[in-house]
Amino acid sequence: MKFKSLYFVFLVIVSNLIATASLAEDAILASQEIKSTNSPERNACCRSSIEYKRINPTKYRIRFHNLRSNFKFVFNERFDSGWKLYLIPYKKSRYNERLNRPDEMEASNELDVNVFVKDTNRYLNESIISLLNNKNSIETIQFISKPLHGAIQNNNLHNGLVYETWFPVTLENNNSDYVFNEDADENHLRILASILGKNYEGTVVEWPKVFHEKDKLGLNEWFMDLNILKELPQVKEGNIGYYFVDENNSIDFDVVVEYWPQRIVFIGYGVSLVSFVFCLILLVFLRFYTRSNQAFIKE
Amino acid sequence: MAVSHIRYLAVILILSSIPMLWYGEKLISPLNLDLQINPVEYFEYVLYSWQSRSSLGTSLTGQGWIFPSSMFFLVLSWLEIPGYIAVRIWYVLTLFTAGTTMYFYARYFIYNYAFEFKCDLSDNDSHIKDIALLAAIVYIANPYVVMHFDNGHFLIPYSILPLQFLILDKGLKTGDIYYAVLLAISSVLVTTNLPIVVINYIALYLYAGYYLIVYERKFTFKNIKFLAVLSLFIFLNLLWFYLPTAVAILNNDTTISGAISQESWELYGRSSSFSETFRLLGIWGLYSGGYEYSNYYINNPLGNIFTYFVPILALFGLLISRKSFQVYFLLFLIVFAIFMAVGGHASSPFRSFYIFLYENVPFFSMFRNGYKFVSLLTFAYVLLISLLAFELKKNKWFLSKVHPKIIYISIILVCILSALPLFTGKMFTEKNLATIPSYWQDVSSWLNEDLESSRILLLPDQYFDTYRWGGWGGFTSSVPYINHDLIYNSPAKNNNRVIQSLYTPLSQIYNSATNWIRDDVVEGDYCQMIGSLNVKYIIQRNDIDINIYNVSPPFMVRSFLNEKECVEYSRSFGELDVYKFIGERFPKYYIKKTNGVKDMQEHQ
Repeated sequence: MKFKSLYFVFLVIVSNLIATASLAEDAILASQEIKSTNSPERNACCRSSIEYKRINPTKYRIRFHNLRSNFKFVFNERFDSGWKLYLIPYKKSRYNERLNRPDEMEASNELDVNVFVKDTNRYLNESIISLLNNKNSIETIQFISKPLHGAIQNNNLHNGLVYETWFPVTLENNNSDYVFNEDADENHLRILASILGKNYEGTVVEWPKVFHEKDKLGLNEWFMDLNILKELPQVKEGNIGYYFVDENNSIDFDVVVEYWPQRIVFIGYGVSLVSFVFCLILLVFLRFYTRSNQAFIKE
Repeated sequence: MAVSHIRYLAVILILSSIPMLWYGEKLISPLNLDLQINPVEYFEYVLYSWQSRSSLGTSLTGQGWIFPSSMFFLVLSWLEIPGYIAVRIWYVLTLFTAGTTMYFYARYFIYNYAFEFKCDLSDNDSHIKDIALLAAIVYIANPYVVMHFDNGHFLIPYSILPLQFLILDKGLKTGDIYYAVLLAISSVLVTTNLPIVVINYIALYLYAGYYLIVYERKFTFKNIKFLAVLSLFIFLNLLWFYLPTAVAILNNDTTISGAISQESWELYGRSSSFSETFRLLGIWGLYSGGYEYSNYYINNPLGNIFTYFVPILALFGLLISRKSFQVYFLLFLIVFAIFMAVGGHASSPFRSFYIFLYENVPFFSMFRNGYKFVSLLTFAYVLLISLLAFELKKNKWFLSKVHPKIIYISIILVCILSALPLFTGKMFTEKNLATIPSYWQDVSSWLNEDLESSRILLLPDQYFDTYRWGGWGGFTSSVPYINHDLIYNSPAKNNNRVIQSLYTPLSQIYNSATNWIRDDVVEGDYCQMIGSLNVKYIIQRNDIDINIYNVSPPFMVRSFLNEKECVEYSRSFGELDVYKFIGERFPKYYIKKTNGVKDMQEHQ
């Protein structure tokens, strides 16, 4: 118990140090961003970015790149507490894909297409888009938007399974044993404490709901605390984790934003379909089998 | 099916088709126009519990529209049947189903009644069929059908109700599980608006309880097994339909709680009364003049007289019929339906009891629109009228004076006159009928080429969008065809105040009538605000009927937009002007820098 508490105090000190350092980093990044307007290529590798795909109205896949400090992540849709954010573990295939940069697309003779190919190759080089579903020919590639505020819509990201976010590990533990520090945020401490000793084994992790907020325009906003993320397993060769650390010390990770009540709807569809089919089979059985038996008995 | 039924069913089909002979080749807007012109998109829309197409996204419990309505239009579109034909088939099929199910149930009902009182049925079966046909016609032609016909969905449970009663009664009498399974399967046919569906099951379970307690006076294992199997399969077969709504209610979903607070039972019952409910009227919209046929029921003496004839005929049926348990059940159903319809009315002796139930019984608020219970009243009236016809046919004194066919025809005429607007093309006004101009398809094709996830701001502001070419209240998202996320003003009280703020500057210039809903707007730079909401295009709709709700005229919107530096005119499609937003736009997802945990605390 004592050891756990001491460890926790240590974590808090470390996280505060990291937060202070990230402030300085923010300032550096901000100045880099200003400079980068004059020379976009030079600093492209260090800019934070996201790519996203709308899978259906209730599910979006988002991939973050080159993140160094805590940030707020805005989802431009009306706030609803039903929206949840899940950290998706990197599986082996994704790890390999991450190591092997996708091939560049081949240039085309058509002018319009060539502009698209050139842009896409540039995004690949800048590492602001990643997966093209192994489709690097112009015929099979899906839409990729131009970057806007560091965000790219990449319809080539995979959809994933319907149930990939079901049964997640949560990062909240109301009974956690931690030492309260009045200088630190209580929720932050509780979440850090809840991470200790949990066995993740590649399970999807639900991002704490205390970090889900309504912004000034009533949109969804998540506070993304990288210190918390870094407490989770890191991706290394052979083991499943939740984030990559690049050579430049920035991190990449994947999330799924999902409207939670939709799974209730899916469960309802599934159960009713099975029940309906069962009813049809039972009806046929009752109609022909049992009634023919009755007729036989009467005879 | 025996061939002898075919001519009766043909009569029902002809009668069901008459209401659809009047409206040319136009789409019918009270039934969702998206369903008629773009059923695939609509299907996706109702499949999910969140829709992002309007109001910056909102929760949606529209699963009830998946089947049968959405599926029906989807199948017809695969068969390449045009939307305007599909919608006519839908309406005809709804009425035909109602007539057919009542025809078979009334026939069964009369046979049972005759059997119970050992009536002589030796003459032949055709008289019973005549009475069943009469019941079918009355079930199609009555004021309740007129009131709910335009909606296109609300009559689905009403149409299936007689079939459900038929199966249930056979099941209760035989205890055969086969009927329990059959009824559970039929339950899948009855999905639409949740309260109106639940009313069917309330009636069915009331009947089952009544049958076992009053008639059988015992609970045998067979009966209990029958009801258990029935309940289990209905529960499972309809899980997809009610579970999302139940979860939304339990989670205090703002859309549902907003609807409950905005539309209370007092509001729905404001124009209703016992006498109006008695003659199958009382629906809120009738008295606000929203329907073309309002005048017929409120001011026309003919309409007034004949609507009273229907309940009077039913009362005669009640008086002269021999009192079987079935007749008593119909009486009970009438009392129950009236209580649920106008129990909270100022003159109701049960007012305090009704209010107690409304405030304390979970989910009772879903029945705040009491008019939906008039379906049960109509069901009971129709069966009582068929009993009246049967008893008159058996009355020798009466037969010596009048031929039975004359009685039947008179009853049918009275009922048809009580639902006259249905058969004379008065169900839809010109505003309800629409032929969508081709420029809407052009603008849609042009915008849909842009695959980037962005929003379109629609101008001018209008409370319910009404175009000069029609379409009142018939769209899911106010515009045809366009599949991008849209920003438009909507009447919902819980509508996003940011959206309302986007329309405020315009309505303030014009002093629009819709100002009253904007008491809580967000202050801020207009360009910044629409940029933050990911608006890429703005469409000024010059084909909006500006005389309805007194909205800003096109020249005013144009000058407003021309003043904005962040907006640039792009091109026009017919009556539509498309502007492009050229200011700083934020995408669907983006990163906002923060100063760490402390910033979060400040935000809280």
